[in-house]
Amino acid sequence: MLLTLSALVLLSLVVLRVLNGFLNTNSILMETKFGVLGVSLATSILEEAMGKAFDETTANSGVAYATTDLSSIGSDGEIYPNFDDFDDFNNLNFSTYDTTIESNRFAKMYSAEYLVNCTVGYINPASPNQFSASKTWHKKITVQITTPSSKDTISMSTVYSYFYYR
Amino acid sequence: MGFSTLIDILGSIMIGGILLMILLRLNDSAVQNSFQYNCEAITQRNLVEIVQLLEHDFRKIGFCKDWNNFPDPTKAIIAADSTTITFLCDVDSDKDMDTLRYILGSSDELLQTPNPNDKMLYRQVNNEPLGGANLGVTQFKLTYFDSFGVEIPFPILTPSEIYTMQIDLVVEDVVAYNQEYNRVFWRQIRLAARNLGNR
Repeated sequence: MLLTLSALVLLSLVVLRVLNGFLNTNSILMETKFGVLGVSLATSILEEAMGKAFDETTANSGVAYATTDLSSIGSDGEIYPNFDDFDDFNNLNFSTYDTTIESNRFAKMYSAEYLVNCTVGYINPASPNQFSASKTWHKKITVQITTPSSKDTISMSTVYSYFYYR
Repeated sequence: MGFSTLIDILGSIMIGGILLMILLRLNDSAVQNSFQYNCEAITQRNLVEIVQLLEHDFRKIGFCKDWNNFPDPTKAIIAADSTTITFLCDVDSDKDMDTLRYILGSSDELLQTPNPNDKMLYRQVNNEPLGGANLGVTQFKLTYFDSFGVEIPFPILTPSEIYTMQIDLVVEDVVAYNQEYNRVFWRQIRLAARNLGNR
């Protein structure tokens, strides 16, 4: 009787160990799946921002000749997704389940909720990891994507520089 | 042999049988999960490979290392459809314009694979034979937008109106355990090719 009980306990432990392995692998695969979608969302936001004008002063007409001509970082009254320049994306926060965004462009697009947080600032090429207090010809956007379904935070950045061809 | 011994033997057979059943079920689960996990990992890798190639090629729309060879980027996209796109770019940066074409094949072309939905995603450079491998693509959908962000309806008669595009890509396992195919989804909402904006 004691031998049988011991065998049962041993077998239970083996089964639990195997199931634990299955669950761990499953959750890792789910994490990567959420990660792939999160990267696609972050890339999309970056691409969208890079498609805009460099600055409010160059959005419609005119050319900035000196960095003092450039505007301050942040939206100039525009509401997402009707931004017209790169730094309008600063402090853009939304959830992909937010149905108030025009055309419901992100609503139910993804199988999980994603929270988007964008930060934009001027940078100095010598120290691109820190935002510069003064205006330069380079702006950097950082997009952070989080989701309640995953522990990871996806953070992607890109630098947009101003060029004018005469 | 007494009655109690008989009960002991019967009990042992029952418990042994139950243990055997548990072990067999566990083995089956292990095989199934191992198969599915490997397939899922392969599917995700396939998706990433395809996306990297697409992003590399689509970013080059209208690009030429020697701009004199292609001064008018508005003519970069030759034809565009929901599953097919043909455009000009200097794909190998040799200063010569190339014609690059992506075509989604039919699921009838891959009847020999267990997955009934997988299709070939062909990539054709100039007049070379259609190239591609079966990576389990089940959906490759392109949506196009003009410079105001308005979706352009099909058929697209004036490809020069295209400013940005959306790529929807779904990749599934080519083979699966019990026909339970894993799916991985990618959506590039706006891919603004730099040279398309040069107008």
